[in-house]
Amino acid sequence: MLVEGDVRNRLKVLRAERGWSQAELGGRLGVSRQAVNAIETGKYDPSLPLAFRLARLFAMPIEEIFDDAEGDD
Amino acid sequence: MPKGTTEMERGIGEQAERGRRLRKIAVIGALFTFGLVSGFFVGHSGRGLEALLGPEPILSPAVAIGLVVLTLAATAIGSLLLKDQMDEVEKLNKYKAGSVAGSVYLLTYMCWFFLWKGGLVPEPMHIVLFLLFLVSFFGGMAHYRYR
Repeated sequence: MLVEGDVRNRLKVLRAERGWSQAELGGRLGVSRQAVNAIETGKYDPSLPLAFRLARLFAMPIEEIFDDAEGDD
Repeated sequence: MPKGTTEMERGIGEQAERGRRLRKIAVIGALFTFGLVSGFFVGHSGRGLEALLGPEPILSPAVAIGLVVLTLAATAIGSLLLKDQMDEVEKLNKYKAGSVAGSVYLLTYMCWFFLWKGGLVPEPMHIVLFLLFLVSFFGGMAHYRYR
């Protein structure tokens, strides 16, 4: 069963590649800097609409940004 | 340079995030000021703390109804304005904090009620339960935000 934090993501790497701060990414997504931090550190798994916004922003499929632990089995 | 990004665009996100944060602070500040002014108005009825917490009326019915209308209006307007400024993480944290505070309120009241009926403590005080709810709510908010 998936629980909060089981979904890993490459947000920090993708953000760093673009030279964006957490606030910069948050502003582009319409969320707070704290929300970006919570997602990056695995404390919060984003909703599907927010995941799609991230995918559009980084111009890549959702599964290239997020990866669930069950995929390793 | 990553695809879809230009040097000119860098910083627009930070500006947007800052604007959103400032709008949120403005709304919360306005609501806080309203609460402070109305609390000050009620608290300075000139009859002291005992009268304020006691069972006897200290406001005229018109003033009391006026305060209720203003409180409900400020809450409704503030909620509508804040709705667009809060993201899903903040909303979830508020739901969790509200749940924690509600549980603390219910359990405290029940325990206090039983002890009161057992003749061990005075009757439950609404103001204490109200303050406990507030402390639990803001404590919960801080916990979920900074954990």
